[in-house]
Amino acid sequence: MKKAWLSILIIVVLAVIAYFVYSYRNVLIPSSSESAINQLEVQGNSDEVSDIENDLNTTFLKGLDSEVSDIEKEFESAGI
Amino acid sequence: MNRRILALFVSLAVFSPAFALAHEDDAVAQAQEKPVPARKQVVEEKKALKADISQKRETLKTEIKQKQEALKTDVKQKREAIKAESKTLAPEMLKEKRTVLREDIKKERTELKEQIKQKRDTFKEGAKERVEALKNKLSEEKAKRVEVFFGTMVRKFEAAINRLRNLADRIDARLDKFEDVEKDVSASKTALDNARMVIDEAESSLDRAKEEFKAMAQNEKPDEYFKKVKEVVAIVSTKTKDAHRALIDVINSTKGISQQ
Repeated sequence: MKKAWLSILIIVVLAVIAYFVYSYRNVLIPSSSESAINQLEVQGNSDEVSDIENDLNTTFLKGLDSEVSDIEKEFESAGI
Repeated sequence: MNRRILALFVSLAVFSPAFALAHEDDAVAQAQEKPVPARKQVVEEKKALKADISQKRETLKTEIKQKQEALKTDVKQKREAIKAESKTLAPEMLKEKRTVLREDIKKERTELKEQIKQKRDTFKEGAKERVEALKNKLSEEKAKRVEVFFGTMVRKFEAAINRLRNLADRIDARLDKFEDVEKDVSASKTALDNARMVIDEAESSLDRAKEEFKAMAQNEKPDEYFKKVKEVVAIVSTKTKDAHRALIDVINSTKGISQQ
């Protein structure tokens, strides 16, 4: 009897996890994009030349359009 | 007792989707019972709302463009006027005039930033509408993912453009300080104006990319139309990098001023 309860509990837990994973998949954002946004949003206020230069040198603009290939993959897998 | 609870639990698990479907059917039935004019009214209201958002966006875009142009001309004229007067004006008066001009420019730039933010928000408001249009060609999940991917990319570009605008403001503040101690900053100010122009071009290209994305969602062949979106996104990327390079050139030129 205990085994039956345990099995049900495991099934319920797995179902709940599957539900959340499935829901979250719909709005999945790569963490690299979020960290790129956070990095771009942080900068100093100083108007010293060296500080401005430092913030300019840490302005990374590579891969801003990386989602283009993700969108293309969505179209490819849809087979339209 | 335990068996009864177990049976109840299993029955609930098995039949709950059926209950949900039944509930959904009720909702559908209720919706079908609604009088036709009411539904028509909702559709018309939705259409009006869409048109309103589009109109709002267009108006904002035009206003921003006009303001940017006006600000550019205004700043140039006032700077030249102060420069011409600088030989005859007392240092105190000159400083006061410069301060007034800087305050005016700062106020106008803040207003512009606010309008740009409003314009960006109108794109975000249209997400649901775009997913609705796109899910007819793809699955709903895929339509949502495409929207999320594009939205994330837009946020990255907006963050990059904001950062560049902020850096331009900081360089401006530094040049003002140099100007206050009678250093010649005219070449750097012109270079900074040009850099700001490239930043504005990046923002305008991003607007075009958003418009093309919206058109793609409504197109019968979104996968083919996406090529157009991709082309415009490549322009946004290039313009953003150009603006960054232009700011680096300006900051390098200020090193010469500080050594004067």
